[in-house]
Amino acid sequence: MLSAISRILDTLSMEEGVKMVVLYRIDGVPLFAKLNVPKREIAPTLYWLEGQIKEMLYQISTQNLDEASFKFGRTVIMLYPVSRTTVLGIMADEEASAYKLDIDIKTSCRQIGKLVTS
Amino acid sequence: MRAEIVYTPKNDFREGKSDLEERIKELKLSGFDPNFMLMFLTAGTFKDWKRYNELFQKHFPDVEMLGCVIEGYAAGDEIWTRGIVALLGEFDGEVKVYFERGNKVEEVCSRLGARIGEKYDSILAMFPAFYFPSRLEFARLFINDRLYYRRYRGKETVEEKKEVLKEYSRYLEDHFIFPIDKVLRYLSESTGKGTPIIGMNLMPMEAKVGTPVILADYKEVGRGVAAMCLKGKVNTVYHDIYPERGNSFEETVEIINSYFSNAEEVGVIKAGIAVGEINGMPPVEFLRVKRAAYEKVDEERFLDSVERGKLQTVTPYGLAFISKKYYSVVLLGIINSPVNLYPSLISTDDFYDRCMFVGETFRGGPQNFALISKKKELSGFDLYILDADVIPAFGKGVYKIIESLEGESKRKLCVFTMAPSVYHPKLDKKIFSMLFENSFFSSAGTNALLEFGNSEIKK
Repeated sequence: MLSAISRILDTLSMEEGVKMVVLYRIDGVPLFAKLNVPKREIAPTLYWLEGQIKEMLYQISTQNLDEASFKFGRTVIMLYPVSRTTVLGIMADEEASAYKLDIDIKTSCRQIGKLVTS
Repeated sequence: MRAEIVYTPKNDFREGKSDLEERIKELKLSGFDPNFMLMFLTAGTFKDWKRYNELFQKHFPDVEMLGCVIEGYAAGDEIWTRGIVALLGEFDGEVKVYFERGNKVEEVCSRLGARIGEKYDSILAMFPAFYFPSRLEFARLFINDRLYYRRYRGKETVEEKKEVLKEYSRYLEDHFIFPIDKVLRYLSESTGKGTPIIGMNLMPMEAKVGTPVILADYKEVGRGVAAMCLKGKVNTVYHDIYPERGNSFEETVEIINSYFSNAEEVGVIKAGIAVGEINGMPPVEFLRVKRAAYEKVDEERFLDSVERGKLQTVTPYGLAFISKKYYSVVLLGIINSPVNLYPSLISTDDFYDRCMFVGETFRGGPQNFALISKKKELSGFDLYILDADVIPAFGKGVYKIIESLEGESKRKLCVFTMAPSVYHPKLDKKIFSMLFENSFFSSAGTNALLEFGNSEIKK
């Protein structure tokens, strides 16, 4: 299962404009992370955003949201619930084709969802 | 007919190749021996089209092959806007691919039609509605736009202005645009008017120099038309999401007013495939006046976007042209671009000079697009050609279309591309998006279906 999830995230992380793909546990603990850029480029941003992401994960869980996103400079953070306990997070450049990415993320969520709930 | 889908969502060629080869190996071991292939690349794989071409040619050298770049596809219960998908089929009847290259649409289509003849039951044609050539060619377009616009402004009467637009249209046709109505007209006439034609009139949503790519029998077509012709158990279906058209100009205007958001009647000066002005302003300037969110785009920024593949060719605003003869409607999107005289993808001469400026609306939601499956006649395998506008309009809501199709179509491939056009000699005459007799298109909200039947007939 782990290698299958890893492959799905790999595919998604290679999308043009995607900087990072993370599968979070609902309490904010990252389970998997795939980076498409050097670590040092996004580490400060991630550190700074940690609190906001945790808050959004909490909102997704308690408000039963389908998705949540916010923009930070030229970076877009998108969070999509995969199962009751996992959320897929994507950090992408604002130039990435958001509407196309939306569909690919949904497909990836469904694939991961099948794996984590089976 | 046995049909198999081979696909990979991976954009990286090496990884994608390994997925594809694994699947192809399985198919060959099962004794699958296809006689045609439709190959669809996406924005993520189109740069490697030569390598994918070689890969498939190596495995299936003798199939009749047609291919192009699309915006996305649904295979099984997955939807992807990346990677590559191919439909391979063992068609029970006759299948043959023809193509013709050239810059003159009438010559190309007539030559192609003459070769195809009248014997086929369905034709799937691919052609570049708008071809994005080199940066240099675009720079020339901007210079010509300014020159023709200066002449246009210098004319006093509407008739004189229309003469300038007609001349400019010839330039656009020779270098950039294959008017969709002309392709359907010349192709249907030269094939005896009895064969339904699905037009995949291609214009990428994120345009890049050299797009759209069209492949026929593993060769690049460039500017031209390629067609897969089928004789046997096939059926062509067309569907638009709009209500029936009116019986008069006023009635159709009323239908547009009640369907579209913020519809406004405007006066245009147009001729051939060029629109000179809307309410006295250049079309793009009119758009910017009406929708202040649009900033002026300079030529350099536009060309940079085309080179980087980031030029957005989708727009929620446009003109609804009303036919003088049928009172049907064809939509033309207006893209924020650095031109004065606006190019159209269809000939505008058969439409009123009074038309409607409208904002995009898809009433009924994504499920409305799936209603095409209710018009199915055969059971077997279905190739749906769906308007890619649903991707920006509904995002992941596109899944609802695929789920709604599931009831009627168990075995299918859906491709998302620019709204398709159709010529069909036996279609309901009250269709909203009628171009001219038996021909249908609108730049949003149209879908087509090519059904491959088994021996059993459903209805």
